[in-house]
Amino acid sequence: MGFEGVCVTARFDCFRATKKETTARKYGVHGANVLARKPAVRA
Amino acid sequence: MLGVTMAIACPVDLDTQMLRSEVSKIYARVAADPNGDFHFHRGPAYAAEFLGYDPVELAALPADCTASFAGIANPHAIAAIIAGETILDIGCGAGMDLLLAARRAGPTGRAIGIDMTEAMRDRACASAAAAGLRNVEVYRADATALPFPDASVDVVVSNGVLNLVPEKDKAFAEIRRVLRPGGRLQLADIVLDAELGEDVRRNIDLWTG
Repeated sequence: MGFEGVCVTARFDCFRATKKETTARKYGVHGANVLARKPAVRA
Repeated sequence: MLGVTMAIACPVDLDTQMLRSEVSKIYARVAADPNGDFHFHRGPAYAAEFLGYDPVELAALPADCTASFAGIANPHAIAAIIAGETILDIGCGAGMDLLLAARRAGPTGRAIGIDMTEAMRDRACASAAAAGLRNVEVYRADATALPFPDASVDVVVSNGVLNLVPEKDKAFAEIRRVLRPGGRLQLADIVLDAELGEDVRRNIDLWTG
């Protein structure tokens, strides 16, 4: 993918109390914060 | 790391034009009627309660942009936007994350939003004007063909959008191209605990909700 330091920093139960809650739980779907960086140019 | 992986490749032969059309129709409905019947949450109360946005900060934004918010995580909680930075919001919708970015970037920064749904772009532009934010730009564009020069952006944010893009490899290549070296991707999106089966990935109803 060409990024470095990729990490999930938080997860969210964003489908809770929606019509898709059951589907989301069935497939293990949740919201997440993801940080990644484009590599810096090395001197 | 919290022990999840994110599928980048999506090797299915979906009718991607149909998928884009269906997605755009749904979000045009959200723009027109944010309180309508949808399978996902909308609005500032959801953003504060479920995703950790600051309710005071949201209350200071035009209601037109917060009412149609339909994100699924919080890119602003990932890292702080610094004054003077150029931020690109992919799939900015009605502009809630975009306007928050514009406020943080300040008058020396730029907050650029792209969205493929006209009604959402209109809301974002109107909300930026109502908020007096002159550092906001909104364009019609697709995540797989960003109309910006190489290395022209400090931070890319996106909230609940890239999961709807079938050609994820192209989208990530474009994000990497427009980011400056050392630039950040602050991505708020869906992750899965396990790979989905082929039958699930071909189900367009599950893509669009």
